[in-house]
Amino acid sequence: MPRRELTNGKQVADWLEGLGQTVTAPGELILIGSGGLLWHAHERGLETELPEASMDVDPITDSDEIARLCYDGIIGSEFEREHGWHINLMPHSVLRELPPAWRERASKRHYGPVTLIVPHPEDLLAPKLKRGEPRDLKHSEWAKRSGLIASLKS
Amino acid sequence: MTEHGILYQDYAKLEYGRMLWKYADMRERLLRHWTDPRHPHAERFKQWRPEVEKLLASPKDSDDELDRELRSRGLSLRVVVREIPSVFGDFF
Repeated sequence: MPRRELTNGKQVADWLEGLGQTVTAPGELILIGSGGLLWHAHERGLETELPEASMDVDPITDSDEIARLCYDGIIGSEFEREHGWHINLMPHSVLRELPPAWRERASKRHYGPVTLIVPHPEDLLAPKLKRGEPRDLKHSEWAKRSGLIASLKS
Repeated sequence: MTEHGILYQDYAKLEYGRMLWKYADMRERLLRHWTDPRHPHAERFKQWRPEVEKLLASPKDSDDELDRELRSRGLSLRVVVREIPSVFGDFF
């Protein structure tokens, strides 16, 4: 039975693996928000679950093909019924909310022809802390508690 | 918000709408979705369709020019971008 929300990094990694096997042409995908934090956690083998689970991932892409596939994962889609969360494409301009030089600190991985770029957790948390909503603060506390930031700094 | 005072979530509809509008199959799919009676904004889209289509067919670096042109007609990029219907549900 699939999870009904996005709570752990394996869900994000599985989606990216699938995307990498489906996409045919090179393209870039930047993952921000909680999905990015969960990806970092998974990369470091942290199995901790995100408090106040997310309902979506927030990718940004320059690829027509990836964008098309993301449209198939919109809210209310078959994808959402299957996975329990949906895909919420964000515009490139939202990256201005991240601290300067975030690209220099970001992680990069390849999933087939998809180049994944995930800003550093501290950069992902910056807009959340600026917003300061209870859920954002819980995500920040989770990142600290889980050692996500410390483990990345080492 | 973007430099034109548009919410990021709204601007995503323009950015990716432009990206996919150039493909005939996606254009047809979007129009079918937005005119579907199940879409809550189908009626509103009928009123705004010419403006929305013009926006989606525009080059991605034409925001300033579009905004100026729209403002000359008492509109703005922000106003028209908000009229791009959302895409959601199992009927897309």
